[in-house]
Amino acid sequence: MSMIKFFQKPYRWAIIYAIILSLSVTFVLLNTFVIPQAETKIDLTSDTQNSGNSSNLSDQSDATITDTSYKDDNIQITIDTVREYDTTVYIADIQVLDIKYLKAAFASSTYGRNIKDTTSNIAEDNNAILAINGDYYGFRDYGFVLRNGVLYRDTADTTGDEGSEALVIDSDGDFSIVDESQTDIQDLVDQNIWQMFSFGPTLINNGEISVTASSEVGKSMNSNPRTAIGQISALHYIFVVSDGRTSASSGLTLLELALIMYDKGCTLAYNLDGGGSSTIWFNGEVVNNPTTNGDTISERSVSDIVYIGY
Amino acid sequence: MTLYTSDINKAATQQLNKKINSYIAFTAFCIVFDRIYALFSHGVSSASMSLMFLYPLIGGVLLFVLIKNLAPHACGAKYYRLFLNSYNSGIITLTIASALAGVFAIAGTSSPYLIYFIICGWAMIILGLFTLAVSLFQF
Repeated sequence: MSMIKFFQKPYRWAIIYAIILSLSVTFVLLNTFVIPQAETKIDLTSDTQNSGNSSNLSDQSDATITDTSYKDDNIQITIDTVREYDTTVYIADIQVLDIKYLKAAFASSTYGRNIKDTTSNIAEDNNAILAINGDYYGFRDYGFVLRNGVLYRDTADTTGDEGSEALVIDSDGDFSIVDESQTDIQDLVDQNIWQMFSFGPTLINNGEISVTASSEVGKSMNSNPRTAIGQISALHYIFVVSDGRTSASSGLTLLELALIMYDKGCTLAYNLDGGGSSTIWFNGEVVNNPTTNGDTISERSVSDIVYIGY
Repeated sequence: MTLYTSDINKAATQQLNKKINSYIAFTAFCIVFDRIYALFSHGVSSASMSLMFLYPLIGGVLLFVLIKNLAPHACGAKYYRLFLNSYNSGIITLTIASALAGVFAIAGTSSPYLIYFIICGWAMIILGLFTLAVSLFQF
């Protein structure tokens, strides 16, 4: 009863609860956005699991490099900068001899939440030739994460919107789309999948555009900076990154992004994390104008990249 | 000094008016917060944040208007302070949970801890209403 009497005095409970609530909110926000939390990979070994080891691949040698192209015995890259829909768009056309040259990497080479670095730093850490930001897996607690043949997260995205569509890159280098909520991750591991990205939506599938003018990530209806990856034919891909949110470039809708990739001949294209995350890096330089905190031109830290390299 | 029933009702009405005005101000704050946040979210919106004002509006303004009109004598009840402490804490907790859910939805992320705010908020509201009911019966 003494406790009840104590809290019956005006403002005592209010002050104590306000402190508790403030601390709780601060913790949740820090836990969600700031505190790095390294995690371990999932051990679902398959008989044919890729090791991510590229020792059987020949080294980079006698490469011919210009400001907008790269060519060696195994990798051929050409970057075009075009103006579409009042926006500057960067299109990297990529041909590789083996899918193992299309890799993914984590910030600080560590899988986990809130472990972040800029696309350029992650690219340099991995000796990438060309890199784009990935799906920012570390910002969510769901969505399959399978990179370079290793499964890191087996929690399906069941949010029910376009985000449930995951991009699968198999060991032959062919793209396909799966619905995570309907997928047994063990089946994919057994199929020797090389990469898996969980963002979306799918822009083009089976040669048909699969977004409409009203499609958006979440509930955003704006034109935005974008990052997308697409397949044209066997071991022939494109990375597309657009500027946006600036006076020089308004950004693209998902339909506009899909149309650009369709015109380039993509049979399958998939939207990756965009907005301030959108970054394309080539041969030591950031090619686009990434925006952070609105229209400030600077690179945002992300949790992962997709890159071409050895 | 002798306190008459009319004096008690007047004091209760003033106290409840103060509470209603506080909740009206809190409701307005929630609406303004949502609008300001929308300016910085590149057009991304969240129903959780846009509708968070309903907690103080329905749970706060409406309830205290009902108490004022139907049972103003509750203000003098033995456990009225406990009701206020628990119920107000529940409303603020649920409103903050809704705001956090909105922030996370707009950012495209989530938190496993949000559910604890919701459980805690509803538990305090139920406890508060139970205390209010007990107070009314004992008055």
